[in-house]
Amino acid sequence: MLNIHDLTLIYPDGTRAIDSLSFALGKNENIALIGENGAGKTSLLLALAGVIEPTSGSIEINGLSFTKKKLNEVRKQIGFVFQNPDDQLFMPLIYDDVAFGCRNLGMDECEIETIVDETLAKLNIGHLAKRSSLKLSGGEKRMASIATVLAMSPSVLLFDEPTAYLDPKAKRALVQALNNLEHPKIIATHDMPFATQVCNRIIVIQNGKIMKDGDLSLLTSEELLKKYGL
Amino acid sequence: MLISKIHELYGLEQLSSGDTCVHRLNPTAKLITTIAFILTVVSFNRYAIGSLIPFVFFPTILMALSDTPYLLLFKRFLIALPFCIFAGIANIVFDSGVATSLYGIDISYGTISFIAILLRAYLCVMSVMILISVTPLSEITNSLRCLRMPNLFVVIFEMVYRYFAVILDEANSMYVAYSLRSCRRRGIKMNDMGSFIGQLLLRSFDRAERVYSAMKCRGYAVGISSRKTKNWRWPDIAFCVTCCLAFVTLRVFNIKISFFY
Ligand SMILES: Nc1ncnc2c1ncn2[C@@H]1O[C@H](COP(=O)(O)OP(=O)(O)OP(=O)(O)O)[C@@H](O)[C@H]1O
Ligand SMILES: [Mg+2]
Repeated sequence: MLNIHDLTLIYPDGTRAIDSLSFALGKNENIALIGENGAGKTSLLLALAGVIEPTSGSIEINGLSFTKKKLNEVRKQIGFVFQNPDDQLFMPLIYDDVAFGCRNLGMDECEIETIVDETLAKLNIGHLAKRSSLKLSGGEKRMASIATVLAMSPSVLLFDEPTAYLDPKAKRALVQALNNLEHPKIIATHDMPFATQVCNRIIVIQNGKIMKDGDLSLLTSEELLKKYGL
Repeated sequence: MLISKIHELYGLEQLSSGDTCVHRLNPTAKLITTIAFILTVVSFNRYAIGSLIPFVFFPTILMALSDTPYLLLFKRFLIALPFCIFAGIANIVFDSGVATSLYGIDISYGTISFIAILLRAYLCVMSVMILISVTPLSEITNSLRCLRMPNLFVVIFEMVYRYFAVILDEANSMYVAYSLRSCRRRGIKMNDMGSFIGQLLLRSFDRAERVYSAMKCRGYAVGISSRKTKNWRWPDIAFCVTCCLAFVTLRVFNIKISFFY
């Protein structure tokens, strides 16, 4: 689905956030991206979402490669849930926020209404539709921001620390919601128990490089995790 | 505090999801009528209090029909009030010729024009707030595009509207963080003001950039407006034509509810 080849990202100030990194995401894979603070997880996701342009290397989704011209098509295929839901919810009502992407795709209002209702129902937050994002709890905001992305029916989902600000109950709801989504996912997280519940592949990165790539058993080795600052 | 009050302005939009006859009107019809209203109101001369008074009916009737709570809007108008007073206060000082006297008290031209400014501001601000509270923002900007407003202006309007909320949000959380550590002194010390504002700007740029990326990720592209608009129905046409005719009649025949001018 998603192929990343020799990706390097150097910020204007010279920080090498991602360093010739390659991997592929398969159809039924849920990757947990783990690594210490500043390892380059967010940077990698931003590059995959087409928000920042990598310095070199290539990314391809379903055979479509990331070029400036194709960027809009690429973005349609990739759903990125930001670390901070406040960045993602900018419309007055949750309904409008979820509809925002569909409106940009030029769908008509009836169609949009069905999609929004379905998406909200899928995440069990139908009751939030007419609320303002300014007045929601952290967990509700998180669910709403996932809905905004799902409404565009992307083929791959990227999450940046989705469990931040969530209480155990909201976390369980999130686990369930994510497990109900058949999309392949890449999830950057520091929450190991969460990773074991949602993911089936682990990629450990440090200084922008992949240090380990394997299945869930990676998480059971204390020694290894310590070595990579986890 | 001011920030949270202005923040409430955005709460107005929440009302726009209501379902009354005013909400159901075509957004373009509402927009045209509001613009016509404002143009008529500002076209009167500076002493025209009497002629402005009939216009008070327009916002009042709309509010009643759309179930918009009057106090809610009026409180928000109060935020704008200091600016109007600031703009009008000079008139009282400089335009001191006596215009008339009421119960033996001399009333200067300045006072009259000051009141006219306040009234005019009240009418304009109220009509815009009503428009916002009965029409979702996305429909307003869509209508602006329908009216052949250059797309660039519409985009700037959308951005300013959105980023204003972003700046307020940042300001609010910074203020809370600041006051928690400044031993509950009210306000911000003059010494800290510079770094507070500088930091606020930097943080809002940063935040705005992230919001903009989130918008782009969801297919927002400047210059593309493929969204559909609602069709005009008879009630929309009737509303728009009746209101505009009424404004023009009031203006042309200069109908006054007269005290002095
Ligand atoms: N806009 C930027 N400009 C310059 N350097 C940056 C920028 N954003 C991040 N960096 C640097 O890039 C490196 C990777 O940062 P990134 O945010 O990707 O880490 P992360 O793995 O997401 O960390 P965390 O777990 O703390 O979220 C860090 O050294 C960081 O300082
Ligand atoms: Mg991060």
